[in-house]
Amino acid sequence: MALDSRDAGYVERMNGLTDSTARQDSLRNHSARRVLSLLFLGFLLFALLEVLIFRPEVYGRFVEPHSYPGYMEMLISRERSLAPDDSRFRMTIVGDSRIAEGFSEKRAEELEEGRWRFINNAIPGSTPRVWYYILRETDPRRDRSDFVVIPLQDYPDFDAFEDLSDRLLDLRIAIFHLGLSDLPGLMRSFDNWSDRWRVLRTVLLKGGTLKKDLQDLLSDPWRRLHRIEQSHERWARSRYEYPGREGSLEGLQYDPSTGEFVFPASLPDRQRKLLLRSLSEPPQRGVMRRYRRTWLTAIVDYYRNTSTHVVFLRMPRGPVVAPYRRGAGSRGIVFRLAREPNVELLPEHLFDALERPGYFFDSVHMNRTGREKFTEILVRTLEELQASSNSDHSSVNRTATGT
Amino acid sequence: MLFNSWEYWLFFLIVIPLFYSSPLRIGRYVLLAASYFFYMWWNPKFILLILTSTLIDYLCGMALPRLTRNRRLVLVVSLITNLGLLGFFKYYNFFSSSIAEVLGISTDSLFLQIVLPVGISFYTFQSMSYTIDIYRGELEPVRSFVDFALFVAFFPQLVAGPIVRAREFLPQLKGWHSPCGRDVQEGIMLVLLGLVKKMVLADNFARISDAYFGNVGGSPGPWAAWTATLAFAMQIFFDFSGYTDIARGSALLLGFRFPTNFERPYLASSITEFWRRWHISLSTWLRDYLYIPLGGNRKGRLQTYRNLMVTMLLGGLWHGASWNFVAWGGYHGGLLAAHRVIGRRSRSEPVTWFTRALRPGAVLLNFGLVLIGWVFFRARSFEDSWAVLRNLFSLHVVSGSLMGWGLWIALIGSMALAVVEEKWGTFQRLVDAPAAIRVLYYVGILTVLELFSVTDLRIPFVYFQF
Repeated sequence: MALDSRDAGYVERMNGLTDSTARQDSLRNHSARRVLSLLFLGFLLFALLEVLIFRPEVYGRFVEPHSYPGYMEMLISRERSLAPDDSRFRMTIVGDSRIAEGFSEKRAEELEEGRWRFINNAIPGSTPRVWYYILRETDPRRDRSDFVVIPLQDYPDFDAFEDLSDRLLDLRIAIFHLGLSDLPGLMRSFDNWSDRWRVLRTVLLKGGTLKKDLQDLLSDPWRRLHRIEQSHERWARSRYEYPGREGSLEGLQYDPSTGEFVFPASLPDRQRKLLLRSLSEPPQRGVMRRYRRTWLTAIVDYYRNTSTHVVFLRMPRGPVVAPYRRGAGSRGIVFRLAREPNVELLPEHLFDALERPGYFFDSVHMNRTGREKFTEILVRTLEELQASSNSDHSSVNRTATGT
Repeated sequence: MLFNSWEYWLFFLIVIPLFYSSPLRIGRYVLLAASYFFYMWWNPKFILLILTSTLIDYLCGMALPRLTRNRRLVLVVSLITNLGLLGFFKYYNFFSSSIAEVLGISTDSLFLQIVLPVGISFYTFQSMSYTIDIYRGELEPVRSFVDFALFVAFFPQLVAGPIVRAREFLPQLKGWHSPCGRDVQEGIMLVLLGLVKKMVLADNFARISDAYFGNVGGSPGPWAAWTATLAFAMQIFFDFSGYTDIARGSALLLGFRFPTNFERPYLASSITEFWRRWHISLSTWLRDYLYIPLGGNRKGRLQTYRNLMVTMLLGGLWHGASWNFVAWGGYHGGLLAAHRVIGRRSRSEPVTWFTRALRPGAVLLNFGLVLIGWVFFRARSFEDSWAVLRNLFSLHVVSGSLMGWGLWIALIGSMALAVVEEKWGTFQRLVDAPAAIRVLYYVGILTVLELFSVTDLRIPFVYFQF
């Protein structure tokens, strides 16, 4: 019962064709193998068309700027617009919304009086997996920064309630920059097969993930072009000038011995729930350790044998800190990475003083005051680090004075 | 296992090699097992209903030619079994609550928690037609139980048709031969076309109609009502015709050819023509097993109108256990009767350039009448139906069109394609077109599917609920 083009039924139908040449043509035209080959060819051309359309240089220029992939494109676009011959000492920080809110480029440059260049490449909602791709795309020659700062929630690899390895949003953020060579590692870094299938599909056929954006573009192209023009002009400036959010959790009290909270009256219910949740310990299964081993190692490896130093720091964890996170926990992968020659680990308790309600506007994000303090401490610490680095490694060419 | 799900295509890709790698005598078991597996994916318990219907009709079919007396009794057994299953599972709660309301007693006292088995309306009609055909002497009974069971449960048409007749299916099974390359080509093209109709067109129109009919009071005014009703008209057509295309394509890839179920119904210039083009397998079923046995048009004008009305009322009720469907059926019955009255005069007039010139107007008028009927079909209740009808003919323009320009382009474009297909039969030409054109078809269809399909919502096929 094999598929056969020369069976009885087919010949019967062919009897309708009186012209023998036409019959021969039709037979040649419709052998089952040929039909399937054409389908395969059609699929290949479709995939090729997708690859051509959804390249960063083509569709990346039209993607909605205030979307996750658009945000990444704006970071890359800004990076390309920076003067390539800027010889100032440069620090790049990546991270999620906590760094977007918590670190001020402007304040940092004021502190350094313009001798250093500070770049905040944080994207809200991003994780170390995305940070790797941000660094790879913004620093393709691995020579843009002297310090690449990676913020961590904790040095020990505490598992969180959310398993970061399953975060499909990462694919969306970095979609334009995921290629075939990324597939094996990227697929391995997701834990279940349905997510791995999504990875495969997203990397091979980006249109499925970007179709809403495309439909929105087609529904009003002029509006989109206007938004792109405006956003690219304003975004870098507004990001630089952003002073941080007002408001604080002043008045929040927490008694670790009883676990009781006193909330400020104005605190919304959602924030209260988030604060309560932040104190409970999720089951520790080693998921974060595996995840960090993959992606923090990937970042360190990326800068191996370059003059760029990878610097890990522990973020101010929140206005209150869960008791379980005050202990040492399991030793983190960063301690092992810190043994590498170009990796620095800032003191674990460097920002402990900022873990107070007065420096936060919600359960995880620093407010304006917290942002200033965090920036100051970080800049001063990096100054010291750079000074000691100069004395330890005379091979580092550039200096803080920019000469 | 919806046709637009990965599960279905994985299942299909497993069935294909299993079927083609076995000799036909084994292959039919493979198809039957696959069909039962397909059905049991929803709810394994309901397989008992199909088995019951299959067994009774098989036995009745075997018995009928051997009997000279009590033949009618055997037929009644078959009809009672099928209509009994259908009546209980589909209509019990509807009739019991209607009776309770008339008697003024609590509907809860008669209400039963009954889950409607998917596809029951289709396979019971299909199975019943077999015994009726044998009773009428139009069909020989099939000896093989497996063949008959496969006719009833063949998975591409099991849950939403088309309603295939035994005389169409069984000879194909008996003389089965592997599909030729052209059939494979047509099957693949039909499947892809069906997926576009369902996932791109129907589901995008569904967003509009679902939003409007889910909250009729939310968007007052005629524009919103007309565009939502138009969106539903497009949704139900593309949904059902897309489903049928996938069913026909799947069957073709297995070596079976199903009849067409839709012939561009919205291009019909009269309601009679509409029913010759819409859900053809149901309308011909109703004609052959209900309208004609009632007397058809042979017993005078009044009897003809009555027969049309009864057929359409029951046809409406077949779609769902609700007075709205009865009203929809009654509306169409009324239109058919009215057209018959008018048609008696116009049929005698010769076709001239003038009548041809009037055809677009007649198509538009007929489409408008069909649109109004869809209001009863889609609205959740009579109250909603009246509210939408009031909005349709309201003079107070409150809100604008609910459809964006993308949907308008899809609507006009698909209408234009329908006209082209009507005039030149482009789909069959495409199947026979040079390789480059067919490759372009694949690239185009895959691109449209990838970029415009609705995947964030799971919108079930409309006819699955029937």
